[in-house]
Amino acid sequence: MNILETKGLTKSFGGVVAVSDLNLSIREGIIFGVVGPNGAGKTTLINVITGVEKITKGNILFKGRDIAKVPTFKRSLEGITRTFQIPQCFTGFTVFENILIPLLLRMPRREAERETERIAERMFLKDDLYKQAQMLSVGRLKLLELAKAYATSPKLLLVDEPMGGVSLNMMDSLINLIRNLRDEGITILLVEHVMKVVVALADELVVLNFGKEIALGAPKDVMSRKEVIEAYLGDEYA
Amino acid sequence: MITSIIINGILIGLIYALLAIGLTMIFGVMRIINMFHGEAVMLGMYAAFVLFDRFGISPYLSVFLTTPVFFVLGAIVYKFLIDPIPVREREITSLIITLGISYVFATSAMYIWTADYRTVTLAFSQEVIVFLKTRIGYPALLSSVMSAVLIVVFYLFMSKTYMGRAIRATELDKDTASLMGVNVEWISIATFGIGVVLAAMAGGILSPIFYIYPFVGSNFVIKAFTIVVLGGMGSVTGALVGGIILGVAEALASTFLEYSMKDIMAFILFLGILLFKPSGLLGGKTRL
Amino acid sequence: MQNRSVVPIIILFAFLIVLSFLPLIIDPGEYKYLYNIFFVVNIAALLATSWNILGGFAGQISFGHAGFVGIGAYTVSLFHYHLQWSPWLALPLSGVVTLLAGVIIGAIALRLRGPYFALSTLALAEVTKLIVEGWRSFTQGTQGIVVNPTPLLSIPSGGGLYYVISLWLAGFGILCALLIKQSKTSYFFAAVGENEDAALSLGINSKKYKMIALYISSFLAGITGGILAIHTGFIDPSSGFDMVHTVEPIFLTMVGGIGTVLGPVIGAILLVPVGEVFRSHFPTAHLLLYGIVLVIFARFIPKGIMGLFRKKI
Repeated sequence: MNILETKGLTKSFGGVVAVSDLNLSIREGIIFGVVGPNGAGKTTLINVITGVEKITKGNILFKGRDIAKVPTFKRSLEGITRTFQIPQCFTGFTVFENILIPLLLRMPRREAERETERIAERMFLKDDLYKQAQMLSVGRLKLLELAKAYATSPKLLLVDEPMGGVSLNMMDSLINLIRNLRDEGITILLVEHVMKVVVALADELVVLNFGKEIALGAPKDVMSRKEVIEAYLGDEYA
Repeated sequence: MITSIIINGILIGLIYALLAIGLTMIFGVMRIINMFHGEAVMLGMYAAFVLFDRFGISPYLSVFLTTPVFFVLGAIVYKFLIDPIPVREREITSLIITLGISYVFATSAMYIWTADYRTVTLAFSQEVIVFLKTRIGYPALLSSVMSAVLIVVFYLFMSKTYMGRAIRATELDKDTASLMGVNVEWISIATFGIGVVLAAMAGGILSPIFYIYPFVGSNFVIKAFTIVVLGGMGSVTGALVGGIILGVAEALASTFLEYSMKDIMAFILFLGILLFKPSGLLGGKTRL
Repeated sequence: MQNRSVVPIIILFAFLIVLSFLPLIIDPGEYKYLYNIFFVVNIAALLATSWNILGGFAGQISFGHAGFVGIGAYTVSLFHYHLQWSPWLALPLSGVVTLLAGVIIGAIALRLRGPYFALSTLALAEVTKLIVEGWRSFTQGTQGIVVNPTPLLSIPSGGGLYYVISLWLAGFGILCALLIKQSKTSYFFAAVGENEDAALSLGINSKKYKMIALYISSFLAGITGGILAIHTGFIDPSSGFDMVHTVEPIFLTMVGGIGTVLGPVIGAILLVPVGEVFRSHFPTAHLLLYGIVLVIFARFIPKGIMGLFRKKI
């Protein structure tokens, strides 16, 4: 069953078309990669799916339901959550509180506190639990960002360029973590730049350029296609 | 009849525009809202008053004499009170700090000059010229013309001089500007200083037309904000257009509605724009 | 969020009860000036607490609290003037009416964020003042309205009565703040205040929480206005909507500790008496003092006095 479908999805800002006529069908339980050169519309796609930006044309169906009119916070409560490229953690709070907050929305306090510890452990943040979020290193902040999102019990998790600025070691941990999340049953839409990560993780991949879909399929096939290489590197390399 | 309302509206609008340019510039470059902008105007008015009252210097001349003082004032405030605050908290904290400063200025003025209304009455204050059947007060005309000239000069400064372009670059993209050799820190300090200077100049120019009293600043602050919001944050042309729109709207409101409606005009426009077109009538993609 | 505990609440009530007996020890008739200061401190604490709930707990800085105070003050005065109600009867209404105004104001202002929200509250407060000034037939315009002192339940109106009432009103405000702090809501308030987009993406209905904060804040501010009108015995636009009702709560809260329950109270207890003493010697100098201290604290001690003692909110 398709957890997310877009039909003719278009988003434009004034004269600029950020996403153009996208028709995606994302099956439940996979990691769906979204790649493309800078400015290709990847983050806009996430913004539209979460409701931060309004659709200009087309439909988005979540589990078969048109969600165009559903506000962002409701989409999160229904199971669509995203992480931000630059982690948006609550710096004034501790790691514990950061994870606790989304949980408090969804369960009573005692349960939320227990769950916070469980999630922190899972996300390798157990030792940092009582540190202020602003004290964390970039890598740990990314983990916290993921932990917060995970705490919302997402059905569809949109991960926006998690590997930016992250050490190679951390990258491997994140790759494993994301794979585990998928194995738990969470569908993941992964926007990423780092090819190694995409190829390792994505079950299926779409390549965007100037907001349009230029290739769709399994990573290995897609990455060797002429149009894709052209988009990234220019005609000479195609 | 309508022509005379519009003409007078435009004239006052030009002065309003000068009022707003400093504010819009500070906001455009540093994303700070200067809550003591109105008090800077007020201080400019008192400066003109003192120089005229004591030394007989015309406000249209004294605005240039006081420029260095106000520049330094703005620079010091920015450098020591605002710049040190971490960027994350700066937007809100600077709001509170500048609010505090506005109070300090207003009450200090109260102490130095008392609450008595002051005026700058020039030799020709009562004279009127008639243009297109409109009676225009001489000081109003002079002030408008001077404002227009200063606006043009400022526009040229921003587009032709190195500093002007450095300021615009910093406004567009601080990091890139920095990489291109712009000393962003100094530019920010200078921008704030210039913003305060422009406000004070507007005050000096307004002194022959408005009553001067310590709390007059709060009148001007909302007008300035309205213009900035009308024209789009950071836009000089926007400030010009916004100023004229406000001036004409006020003139129309005071004639066709009631005189007191004049003041409400600024607020209504302010709230209306913020709600319906937050990027301003001319503005682009500023997202509130 | 503080842990759910009756202890602070019991302590609060204990303080209130003990302090209520003060008039039996120190005669209000003899020490009029002292009781006046007590009253002003209580009211300032209430107003600062109200501002703090919106600005400190929920991170929505309001520059328009003078508007709420004015609306509350006029509510009491107008019920008294047009319907001859006892002002005490109208006092709870001052909170309700101001809350309703808060609904309208919120519908406009809460669409905006950060500084724009602050500015729009400022603008809305000014508009309200201008409307009150202009609508002479209803509000008596700049002439103002006299509120005759009336006894409450046969207790004659006087320093002691105002002191006790204002004490318990302040206590009520503090209780609201305390209850919020002990609930999940304080977390959601803080999340929205710190990073609204992140909060939304996690499922927090930011609009709802901002509204709740605004409604509670406006209700308490309205009551402040109401009791002020009764105490002063007179209301007019310039006193009811005086900018000091906007600046003072910000100032007291920043000094005491923004975002904490005790911050506004500490600020009020420490600074209001100082300000009052200053005012009697150098009228309007206390505004200068407020301004300078506000700048110093906002710049160098942003977490206020409470912040010097603890690390967390």
